[in-house]
Amino acid sequence: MIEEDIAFVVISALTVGAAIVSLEAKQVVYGAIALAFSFLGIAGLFIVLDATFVALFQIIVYIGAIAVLIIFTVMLVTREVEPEAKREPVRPAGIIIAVAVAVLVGVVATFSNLAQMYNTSSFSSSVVVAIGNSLVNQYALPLEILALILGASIVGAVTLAKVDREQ
Amino acid sequence: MIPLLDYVLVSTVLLAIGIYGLVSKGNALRLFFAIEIVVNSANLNLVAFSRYLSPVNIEGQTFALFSIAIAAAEAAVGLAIIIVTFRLNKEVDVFKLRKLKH
Repeated sequence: MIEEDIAFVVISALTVGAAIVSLEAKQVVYGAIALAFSFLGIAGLFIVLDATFVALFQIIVYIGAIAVLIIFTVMLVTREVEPEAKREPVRPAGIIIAVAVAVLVGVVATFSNLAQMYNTSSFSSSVVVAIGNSLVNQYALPLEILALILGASIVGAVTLAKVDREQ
Repeated sequence: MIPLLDYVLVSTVLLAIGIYGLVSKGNALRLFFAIEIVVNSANLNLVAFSRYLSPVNIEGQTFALFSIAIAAAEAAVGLAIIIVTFRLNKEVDVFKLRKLKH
């Protein structure tokens, strides 16, 4: 299928390029954002590989938790920030552009053949069910140990990062 | 159909980028980025091999889920260590952190 090939090439290029940018960007915060895009690309590759559940897990954990945590840490840790050029926010222009985009996309979508399309995809939830079954049957002990590791690591992280007010 | 080799090559490129970052960067945050890239390349390998080699296609996905959860725990602890290091030394360059050595 040519669509699959195109998706694979584009997503791979995005993933690899974002990974390079994340290490080579001048400012660390831009690198953190590029790293989030790299995580997103990996999730896209998971979808191409028919691993939808893992892709959703990747987006929730990596982009929802880890990338946000990284960006907060970068903001806490980085000292030197070059003063950016002071720009007055142009609010009316923003509103006009937002409304224009919404109207444009809405009109195009309304007059396309999207209205005649219905959800006929044959996504089967059997893989998700099988993963859940194997997690609580075959891998029950690793799952419990994983819960212990997660709890311990979060307690450790909070203990490390806590500021003692008395000192 | 995309051959399995393509996924392995993409994963190898990501691994190489991560190792390059681990070797050549001094900022602790960049090192953290590099570690995450390496973990992601490993996850990609797990899912790809599961898709191509396993008839039921769940073992590798389960392993990838475990790996992602472990990576989350590692991220929490690692970032906390970076914050504490910065608070104590006003510095996150690992080439300048030599206190434990002396």
